[in-house]
Amino acid sequence: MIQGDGTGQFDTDNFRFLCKAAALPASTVAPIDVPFRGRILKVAGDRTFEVWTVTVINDENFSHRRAFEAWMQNVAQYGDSSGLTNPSDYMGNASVYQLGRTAASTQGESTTSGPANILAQYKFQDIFPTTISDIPLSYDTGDTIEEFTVEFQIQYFYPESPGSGA
Amino acid sequence: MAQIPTRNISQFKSKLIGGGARPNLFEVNVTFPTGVNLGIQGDGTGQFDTDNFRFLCKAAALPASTVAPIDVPFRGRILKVAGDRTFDSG
Repeated sequence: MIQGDGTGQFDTDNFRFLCKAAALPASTVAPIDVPFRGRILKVAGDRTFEVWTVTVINDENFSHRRAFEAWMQNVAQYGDSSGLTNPSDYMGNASVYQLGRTAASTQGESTTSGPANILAQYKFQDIFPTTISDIPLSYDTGDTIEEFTVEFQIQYFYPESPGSGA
Repeated sequence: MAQIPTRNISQFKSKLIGGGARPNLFEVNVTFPTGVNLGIQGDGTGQFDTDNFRFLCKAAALPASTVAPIDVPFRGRILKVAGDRTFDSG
């Protein structure tokens, strides 16, 4: 769930369906090597966060590609280097949920309309897109639907209590 | 346990507008600079055959969009703010 496209409305509900790939984030704390008489003592350094990449199916309205392009257009215009200057104006938030399998009923019938369990949930704080990938076009490409990736810079993420903000 | 509404494939079908855009349905239009003399090239008139090119250009790309991040260190953390936009070659 991504918010804050900088243009007003973003079809969050639609994005829940058309975001076809994402990642539960990695977490890295760099070690600091402290030499001591021929041995290395490793102590904890600073935490860093990798970019977060999502893959989106491109529908015929270009719904999300246009939204992300508009978001980036607000960050940095195409024709000049102007753009929003206050980071809070162009940074949004996102969450990713790990879903569990919906429990089957005791009668053995599958429950397709019941809610899905949230096993884990992470929130990405103050994100903004820095790369929207190209979409290759070719007569050679058949039986394929267009998709593209969006790379987000994130300030940090943290695990949330499952269900908060879902 | 926390829960979220289940999304089923019928709902997915309703969200996939137009069945998804297809990568083999495209057309490219190139506007040649008027100062370029093509001689016997092109359509024989010295003009670039734009209409023919629309058919014979067999691969292209919808362009990527990139804004580089600027890392601003602050007390062991990195604040990432937006930098300048760059454009890849087509």
